[in-house]
Amino acid sequence: MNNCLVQHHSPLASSFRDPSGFLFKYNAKLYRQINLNYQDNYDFLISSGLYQNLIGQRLLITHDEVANPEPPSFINTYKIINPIKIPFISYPYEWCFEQLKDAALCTLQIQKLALDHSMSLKDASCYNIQFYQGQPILIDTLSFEKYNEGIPWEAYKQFCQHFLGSLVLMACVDVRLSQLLKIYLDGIPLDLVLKLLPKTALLSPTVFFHIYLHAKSQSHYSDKPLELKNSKHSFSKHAFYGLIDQLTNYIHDLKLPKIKTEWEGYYDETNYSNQAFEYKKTLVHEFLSNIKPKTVWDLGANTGVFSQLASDAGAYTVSFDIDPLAVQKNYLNCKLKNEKNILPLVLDLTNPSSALGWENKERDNLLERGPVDVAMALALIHHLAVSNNLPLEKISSFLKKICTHLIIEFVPKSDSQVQRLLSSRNNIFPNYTQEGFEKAFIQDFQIQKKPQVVGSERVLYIMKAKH
Amino acid sequence: MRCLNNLLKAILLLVMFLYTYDSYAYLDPGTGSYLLQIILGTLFATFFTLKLYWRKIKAYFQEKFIKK
Repeated sequence: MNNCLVQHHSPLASSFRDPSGFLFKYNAKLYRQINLNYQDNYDFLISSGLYQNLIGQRLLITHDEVANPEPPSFINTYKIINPIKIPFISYPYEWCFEQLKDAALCTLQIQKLALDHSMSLKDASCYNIQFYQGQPILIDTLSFEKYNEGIPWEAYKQFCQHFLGSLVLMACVDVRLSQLLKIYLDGIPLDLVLKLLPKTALLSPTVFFHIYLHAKSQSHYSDKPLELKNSKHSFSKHAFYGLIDQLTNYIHDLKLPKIKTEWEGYYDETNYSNQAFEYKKTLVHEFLSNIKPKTVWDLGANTGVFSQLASDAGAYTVSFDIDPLAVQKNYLNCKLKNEKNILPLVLDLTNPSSALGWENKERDNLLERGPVDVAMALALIHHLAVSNNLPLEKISSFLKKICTHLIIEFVPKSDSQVQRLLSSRNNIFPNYTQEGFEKAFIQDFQIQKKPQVVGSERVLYIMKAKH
Repeated sequence: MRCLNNLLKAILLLVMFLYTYDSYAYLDPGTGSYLLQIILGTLFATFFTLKLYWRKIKAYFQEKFIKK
């Protein structure tokens, strides 16, 4: 519980569970207060060399200690630190499999390093990890405590529920099961994971120990308090390393089964002539060079071809797509190229992430994390208007909320992609024409340019939001 | 000897666990997670040690048999 009484500045609505400190905003900057009760652990984090080691390996965000606290001091303050800003906060239910896997491996690597320096993580929650410059990184500097040999890992349960359970479900059952993390904010209950897993999954020792036995043990001891006085209980440091090692190896080798989704081969199968595709790229590149955005959202980004153009133009780009395998392809590609300015994420635009948690304020909804300088909606509008039956006016007013400039591609009914969508539907879209499109969008945007994509029937619009 | 003791404990608990009913884990105080680590601790330690010294063990046996 925080003992803070402040005149004008209160902690972030999502930062209240940790007795060691909390986050708050002051003059549009983010700060973290370290409470007095965390003094020893924080000092040891620095003096043991763990902090430097973690920073060197880019596993923990750096921070500055605020020497003369410009932000007002709260009661119970030991220190105030100013951590670096994460450009876009994302959540595990928005990550593809490989991102969740990398976040898990990052956590385990940090725990191993911590042990080397006689410290240990007191929590292992997905929400302590964010993606920064293309890599997972720990954002909770106060998660470390001095290691007491003999005591088991405090964060073991959380690690299994947040990371291990969801990864095993994605790999052994269905990749879409990561969405369970939206319902269970403290990780998927292990008894539920167990019920969903096929029996063959239990053949793996890791799954057998850390899911099956773990779930059964939880259930068996659920009404029995822990008798810590029994000093016969011991968990050696060696055993700890063994545990981390086993989890690391298992997760490292975990892969999704090879399945082709409808979007993965998209670029190979569209009716774009090569010429049209390249022409579209030149147009988008030109628009981005003129606008010079700092932040871009690429909606329906698929494998991120156009997100790359935004990144090349100097923008931090969040690359959204509904297909987790396309997002994964994008992410793996970014890793290969060491791309620091693109964050691929899974998102259903017709049902974007909503605000979750206590008072619905612990996790932000999508709109709260915007707006951005430029939103790109390429080869997207027909999916929203035709497949999802969304009126063009509603699409326009939504897009206005998220950006200052919009690059949007109008895909007419004559296009083969739309023909495919209409083949199993009645054509109930009389307003879905170029005139109808412009009429809807002119309410919210000023149309600046609308060149035809040569080699196709599509038109690329560049618009500016009206205010 | 302690290793064997722990193994027997593990088997006993495994048998006990087979007969647990659903509890939907709402009330879990974390005891189960804590104790599971204690029970399996020796196992993890053993395997980790084996892994660390695997190369040495392998080299030792290779030497022994190849010499012949």
